[in-house]
Amino acid sequence: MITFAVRRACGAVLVMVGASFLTFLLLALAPGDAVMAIAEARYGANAAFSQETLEHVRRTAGLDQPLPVQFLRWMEHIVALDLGRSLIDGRPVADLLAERFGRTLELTAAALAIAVVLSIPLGLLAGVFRGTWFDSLCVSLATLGSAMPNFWLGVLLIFVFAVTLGWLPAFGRGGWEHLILPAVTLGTGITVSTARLLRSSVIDILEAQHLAATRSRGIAERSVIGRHALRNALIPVITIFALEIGFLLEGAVAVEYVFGWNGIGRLFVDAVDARDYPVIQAIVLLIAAVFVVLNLAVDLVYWWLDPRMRGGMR
Amino acid sequence: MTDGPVPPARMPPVPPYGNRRRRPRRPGLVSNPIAAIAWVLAAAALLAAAIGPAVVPHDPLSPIAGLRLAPPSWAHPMGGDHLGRDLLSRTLAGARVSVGMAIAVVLVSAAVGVAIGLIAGACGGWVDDAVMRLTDTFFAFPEMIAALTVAGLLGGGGGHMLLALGVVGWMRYARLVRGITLSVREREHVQLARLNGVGWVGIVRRHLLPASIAAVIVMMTAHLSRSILAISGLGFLGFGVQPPNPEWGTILLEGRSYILTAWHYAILPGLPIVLSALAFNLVGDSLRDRYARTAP
Repeated sequence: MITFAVRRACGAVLVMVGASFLTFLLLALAPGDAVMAIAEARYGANAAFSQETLEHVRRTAGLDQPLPVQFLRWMEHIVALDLGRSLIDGRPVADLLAERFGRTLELTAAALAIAVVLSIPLGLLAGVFRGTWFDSLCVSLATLGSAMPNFWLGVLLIFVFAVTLGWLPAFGRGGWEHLILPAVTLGTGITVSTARLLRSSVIDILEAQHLAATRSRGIAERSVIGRHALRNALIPVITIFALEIGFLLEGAVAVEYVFGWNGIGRLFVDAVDARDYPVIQAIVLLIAAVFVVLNLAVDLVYWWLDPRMRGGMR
Repeated sequence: MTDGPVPPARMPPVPPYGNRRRRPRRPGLVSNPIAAIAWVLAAAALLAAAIGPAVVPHDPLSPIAGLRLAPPSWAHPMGGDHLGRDLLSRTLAGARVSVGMAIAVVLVSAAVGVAIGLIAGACGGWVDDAVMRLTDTFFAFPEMIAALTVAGLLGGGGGHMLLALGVVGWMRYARLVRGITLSVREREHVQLARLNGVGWVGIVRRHLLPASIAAVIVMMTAHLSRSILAISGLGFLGFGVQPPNPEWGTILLEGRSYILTAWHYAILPGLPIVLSALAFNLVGDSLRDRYARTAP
């Protein structure tokens, strides 16, 4: 167990350093004038920049150094766990991340709550009442939902609930009513995939041998489902939920963009636009870290839930 | 009761080659109306990508007088955009990028992934270990963030989008083909072929590729659906095709700000995205049911 965890942790660090290094390479090799992009983001677009200004930007961004020196600097930062300062407004990146990541967490937590509340009963009922109209309805909705790009769903929801009905605000952050539309938009994808998974998991379990044995002992179907089937059917769902938190972060990029939600996704899009190297690096590291930790957590939960896994993980 | 030859009242028809049992029918490709609609929509999407820019009713790039933000009408079924261009024409022409690019992404990812999976599965040993470790590393990072970083930093445009989505698209194929390869190479007929001196190229061509092809095609169809969503997603975030060229996600990005004044502009261009993604998903499902029941 300990060796397994240590090995996985080493792999995790490798993945993060690898992702960061690839980002460094990408930033170094990207075409286009980075200095110009940074200057425009810093001093406003359409301004005419003097040679001194551009030189100043180049120096402060560290772009005047040759590539090997930039690489050494990058390593220095990685080793010291120093995220640096934003090239645009000079704020420490750690502060910026803390502020924005909190907002994204707010959004993802709400989306996750919606997904849990909706997907578990729907998936379970669809699986138990397999082949009925209710099941077909759920399956059709799930099929539709998985083909729905979340940014378009967001625009649709804004049009219906904010523009036409006027029930909910469309943009920005504020009270709980600001949270509803973006959370529903973000949560739809994982609601659909979780409900699907749970449905097929329930169907598999209900056909399993040991449940036939339970039934033959005369135990009521209700109790068979509630006490025996559900627990087993939830195992894959619990593990998949952890992974889906990662995918929520990914989906948050577009959703934050649609709803003017100033979270980490929006920050990332802006940083890529402005070539704000330290911020891009920090967000890539952060997201890689979240993914790696979640993957690790999934493996450990599996190890804990399913004793059969223990043999294979030494 | 007289003895005599009993006329064969109901002899079963003699099957032509001995008494072969009929195989149970596989489910048909177009087994229900929804699957039929999906096939039609998928074909329409492919057709639009192939000839869309050639059959547009109006020039997708030049404004028409009086059509600025005009609502849908008989002459312009999807209305006009903020510059007075015909939205139907822009959407049709946009299929070239939105669907065509998705096809390119799928072909590139599949080619790279299948090659890597074959190498890993056929070589085995440390090559397999190294390749699969690499695959895991690529899997460990969220696809869309990686694609966004690559496409955003390299700048929009077709080639860069292809690169961005190809980089994050090959791993599933590699895993799939490696798994199939590992199990097929141990089968007797393959072992026998090797004993008879058939080289690896022959084994790959005659045994490993044919064994993988059905599952790979099913995976490609589902991937096509995801790629359409990914490409329009990049476009919506402003990292796709640069204006004025039409692409579904980019059109939605432009239309988003007019949701209060011209709903059709913000909403309608999303329909082809959903419909084509849905259609390729369902087509993938029906292909899987027909040809590759065991495929993931």
